[in-house]
Amino acid sequence: MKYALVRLIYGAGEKTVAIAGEIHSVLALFLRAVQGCFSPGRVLSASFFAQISRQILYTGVEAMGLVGIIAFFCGVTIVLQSMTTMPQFGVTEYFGNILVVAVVRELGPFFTSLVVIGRSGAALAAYIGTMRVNKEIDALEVMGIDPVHFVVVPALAGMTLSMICLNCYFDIIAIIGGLVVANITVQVPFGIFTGKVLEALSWVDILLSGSKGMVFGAVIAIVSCWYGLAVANIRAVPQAAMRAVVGSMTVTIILNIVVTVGFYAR
Amino acid sequence: MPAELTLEGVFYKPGTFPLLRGIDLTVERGSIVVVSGRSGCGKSSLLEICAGLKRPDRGRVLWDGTPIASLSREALLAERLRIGFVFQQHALISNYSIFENIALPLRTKGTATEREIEIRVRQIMEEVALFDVDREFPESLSVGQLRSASIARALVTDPDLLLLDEPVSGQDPRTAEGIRRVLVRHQQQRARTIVMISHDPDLWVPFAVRTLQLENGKLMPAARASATAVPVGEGE
Repeated sequence: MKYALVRLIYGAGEKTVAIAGEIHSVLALFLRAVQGCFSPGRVLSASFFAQISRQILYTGVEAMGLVGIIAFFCGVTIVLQSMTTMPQFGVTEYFGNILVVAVVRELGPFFTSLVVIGRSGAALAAYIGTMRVNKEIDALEVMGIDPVHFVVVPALAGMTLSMICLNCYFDIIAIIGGLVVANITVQVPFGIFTGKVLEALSWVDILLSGSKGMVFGAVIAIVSCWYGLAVANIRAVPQAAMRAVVGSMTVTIILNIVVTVGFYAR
Repeated sequence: MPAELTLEGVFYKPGTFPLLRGIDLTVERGSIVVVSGRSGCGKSSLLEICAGLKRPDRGRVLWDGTPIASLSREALLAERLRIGFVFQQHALISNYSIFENIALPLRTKGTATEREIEIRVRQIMEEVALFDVDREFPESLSVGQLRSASIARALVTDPDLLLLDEPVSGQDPRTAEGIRRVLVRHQQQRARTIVMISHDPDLWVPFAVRTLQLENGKLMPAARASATAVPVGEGE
């Protein structure tokens, strides 16, 4: 009994130290990448910007279709639910506030991050993991190129920019979805609907949404790169992709609460 | 003048068994050293330790008399601009074209203009018999072509020290001979240093200053070693 307890405590302690070590390592990678954003090293800037553009294409432009569909139906659902429930409380004029609170503050950043994690985070971890296995990362090192500058910095810059833009795009499409359903079902004029939404929207909401997009984009990029760079052999590549998804989701959910509390706990 | 590359008591144990058990090696400037040995005996690990890609468990590696463990990360990256490395796998960047791959070390060095890079890359591609593949990506090349591209990338900056892992494996005899000539010319005309791994050291005997065998984690002179380097024309 005593031996089992000691083993349990020992195991828990070991796990805690390992997790603390991983967090430290991810934060160190983040700091190196942020530093690298302002000094892209010896790799020519043309190649550096080409890599950022490629990341924006994969993460942002190619995800627009999926994000657009989710955003549209998200807006439609919220307005439909509001219109069936709100008349019971006599507050039908507040659908704008509901849309802003639900979409701009919470669902926009959250759904967008889910799409980016599933599409690009997993792909990025697998790509970097494959580079590691194929010795491409070692080849960069031996050519005098810091892999953080070459791989992580473009991913960080590209994903963060893409997340901010996708988030904004999600909000606009969701509001359009809500507007369409409101117009078709209860014949709310476009002008009145837009006015209500704009009335409900404050600068704090826009700032919060943008901040979440930026934070989530950076988190997804760094966590995915970290898991990719940690790959030791070909069998670890799919595991890295899976862990990147789980890790990014966990950190994103935690930071979502932290950012929201930071903005509104006043 | 210190030796180009020195290994002092290098001990390396990646798993249960040690691969390298106290390797001592001095490679003089302008010499060719060929290391052979059975598969899995640690030849590639030895080369990666020479390049500072792997850290030995004990012992030290010196470039020009400077222990690489004492270099900062930035200094190590800067020093590596003097090195050309050919991996056993080609290790070309998969989303870069062959031209971009070969130009990458020149761009990293940052001393050549775009025009100079273009001329130099085309010249080195011709030397290693790579024709009409500059816009191709690595996945569309044969194993031999990938190997040639990898050698071209290592040679393009005219490095002081070349570390080559099986440079002519997977090549047809004619291309292999061409690459052999390019490497030996590089060493003899510019007094560069080459450390290479080869399963067939006899190929290099006419040119090699030293042919070594890695056995049981120790380096020892190979059975057939020539005493001095032979000029490129006489060895053929």
